[in-house]
Amino acid sequence: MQATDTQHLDLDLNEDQQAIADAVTRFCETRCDTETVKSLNHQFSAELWQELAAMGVLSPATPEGEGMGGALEICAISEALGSHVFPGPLAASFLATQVLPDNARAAIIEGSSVVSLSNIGDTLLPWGQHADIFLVVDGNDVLLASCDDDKRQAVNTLGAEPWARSSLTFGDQLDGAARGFILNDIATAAYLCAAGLKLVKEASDYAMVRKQFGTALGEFQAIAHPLADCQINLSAAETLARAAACCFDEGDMDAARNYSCSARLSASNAALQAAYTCHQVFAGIGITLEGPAFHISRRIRQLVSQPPGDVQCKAHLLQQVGLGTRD
Amino acid sequence: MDLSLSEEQIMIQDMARKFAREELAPVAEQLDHSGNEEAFLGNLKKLAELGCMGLNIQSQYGGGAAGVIAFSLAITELAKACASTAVTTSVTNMVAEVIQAIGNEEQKQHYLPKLCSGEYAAGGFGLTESSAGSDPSRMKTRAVRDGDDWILNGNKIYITSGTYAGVFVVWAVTDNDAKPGKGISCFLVEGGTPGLTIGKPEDKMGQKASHTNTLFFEDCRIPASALLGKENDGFRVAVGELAGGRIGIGSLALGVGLAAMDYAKQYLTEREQFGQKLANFQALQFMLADRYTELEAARLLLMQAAYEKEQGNYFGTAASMAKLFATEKANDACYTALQMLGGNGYIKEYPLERYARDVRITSIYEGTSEIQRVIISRDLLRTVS
Ligand SMILES: Cc1cc2nc3c(=O)[nH]c(=O)nc-3n(C[C@H](O)[C@H](O)[C@H](O)COP(=O)(O)OP(=O)(O)OC[C@H]3O[C@@H](n4cnc5c(N)ncnc54)[C@H](O)[C@@H]3O)c2cc1C
Repeated sequence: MQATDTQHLDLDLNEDQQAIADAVTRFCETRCDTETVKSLNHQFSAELWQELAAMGVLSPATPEGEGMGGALEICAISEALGSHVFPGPLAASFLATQVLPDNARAAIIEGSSVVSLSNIGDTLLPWGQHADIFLVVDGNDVLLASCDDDKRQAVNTLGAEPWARSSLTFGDQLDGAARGFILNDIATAAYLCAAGLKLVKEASDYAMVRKQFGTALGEFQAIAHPLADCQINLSAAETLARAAACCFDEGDMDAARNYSCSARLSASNAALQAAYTCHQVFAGIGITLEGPAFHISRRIRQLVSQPPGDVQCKAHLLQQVGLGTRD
Repeated sequence: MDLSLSEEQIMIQDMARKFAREELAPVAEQLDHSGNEEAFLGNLKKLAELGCMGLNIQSQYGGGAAGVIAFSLAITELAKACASTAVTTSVTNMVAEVIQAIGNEEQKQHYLPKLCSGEYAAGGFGLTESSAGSDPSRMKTRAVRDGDDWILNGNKIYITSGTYAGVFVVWAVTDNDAKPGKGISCFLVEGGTPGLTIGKPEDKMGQKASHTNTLFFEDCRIPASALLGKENDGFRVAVGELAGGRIGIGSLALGVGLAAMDYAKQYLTEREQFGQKLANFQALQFMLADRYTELEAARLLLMQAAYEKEQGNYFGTAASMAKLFATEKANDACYTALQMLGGNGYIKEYPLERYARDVRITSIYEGTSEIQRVIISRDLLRTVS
């Protein structure tokens, strides 16, 4: 299915990519640790978002950043943010940097503009309470839209993110959608995998110390094996995201699209499986809001459910195997 | 096993369904959101008046004497509208059943009418401790005899209805030298007893209207007459009663799963994408078919376990199978349904996100899925050997 020589994909981060991942990790540890994420209650902090943007994390695949490459940076950044459950419209912002004209892109890169990415025919606007740029997915295209502020209504979500509902007025069809979709899916997949792996790590650590029946939980195969399955599935999906990023950086957009769709779908399934499994490992304490699981599991649910969803990825992969039905 | 429902069972199912639709459904979302305690307690009182707090309790003690199948049917109907109300009802029934099973006549006459009539808003089941969850045999709460009294010290965590239960059934170690699970006794502790402090309700992911609290016992003095059943024989009782409670929790999960699928089914017939109704897509049709099949199988397992209990037969393994299957499949159903609604499944304008939060605990409390598998497999292997 891939034109790229998959035997020679180097999925490791180079020094620069590792450096930005480390910097994002340090930023999260100092500015947005677990307690902050919980106290933010998944709300959007413009201050934190701009601080993050000031590190250049939203610019990798732009003329201002790595130019035509940058997808592995995006992978590394999304992994670092995912493992700290950092809130904000990350993947949509990467997509926006591919489709918006220079000045609008600059506002995204510096974190002063907030993007809402939604589906045509749907009034639900992720991050819509704070958004000033509205992008709409219409099949394989992306449209610029405007939102009438008077009509915008706050919507409560499972994860408490500040979404909104409003009808939009559609404007121009934007160039660069294909690249944007790939980066959107890579970032979503990488974030989901990292959040899932973080949860698996926490649950595994807990299983090593929590004892029942005089035995550490991790000694029970019923606990250990499902955690191992989660780890394997998340790691596999993470590898797909890295492969997509490598192909993107090498300019093989067909392979990148195939991988990014596979990565997104695999990551969604693996992260949901991890959320379920880890809640089960934590049992009672995982049900409480101050516990170690819910702030991560609901973020996973958010990324899996939020518009534009994964319909496009499924359709794309079906077309690749000759089963395309949409068009 | 005759699967047809008796007239009385159908009547109770209809009554619970009507109550759920008319009284619970309109406030369930608000209760989840803002925890309107007055409305919640008001509904519990009405349910007691309808006979739902002692469905399997003999009529001489104010119960409905309707049996276990009727109990299961009622809990499923209530859970379709409000899982918080359903769990409170289920646990209260379980508490009443413990008292009926091992209480002396005086205890039964004193407590059962109060639980069944709603004089007590609810009953509480005090077993879990911070280091003794799946393995309650290693509990640390102690009861020491002091003249005509018992003195309780220790903590119980995650106790449903802690804030408003009129009476708690509480387990404590009474023989320090006995092996785990052997020297444990069961006590009746009334809410408000000096020495019993109720912690603040836990902030939870789901079933938010139902309070879940820590009970702190600090030199809590209760009379000798508060001993329920025989001294040092309490653990066997706890295990036995949890088996009955599992039918309640499985039934609750079934109700939430069905509510989620019913909502999603309707949505698929209304929402259009790619120029046609979502219900026309075979992938979605098959998901519906699979989930409804699983929920129907869960219903039958629950009926079987309830039937065995009602006949006075051993029903522990059947109850574990029913709880395991019903709660896991109900979780699947809720997540499938949420996903079927796409972004709308994630927002609070629709009930799916509440169902998904409410259902998650069902495969954890009253014995996790893993513990049900331990029970089932132990039974199977014992039979083989
Ligand atoms: C909302 C809520 C309401 C509750 N209401 C009540 C109540 O009214 N009364 C009451 O007494 N308790 C109540 N509980 C407590 C509940 O019953 C316990 O949380 C449950 O029994 C699990 O115990 P735990 O949380 O300590 O998990 P643990 O026992 O620590 O288990 C953690 C994980 O290890 C697994 N595990 C443990 N032992 C084994 C084994 N041998 N083999 C394989 N896996 C194993 C478990 O399945 C679980 O996945 C409630 C809890 C909640 C969250």
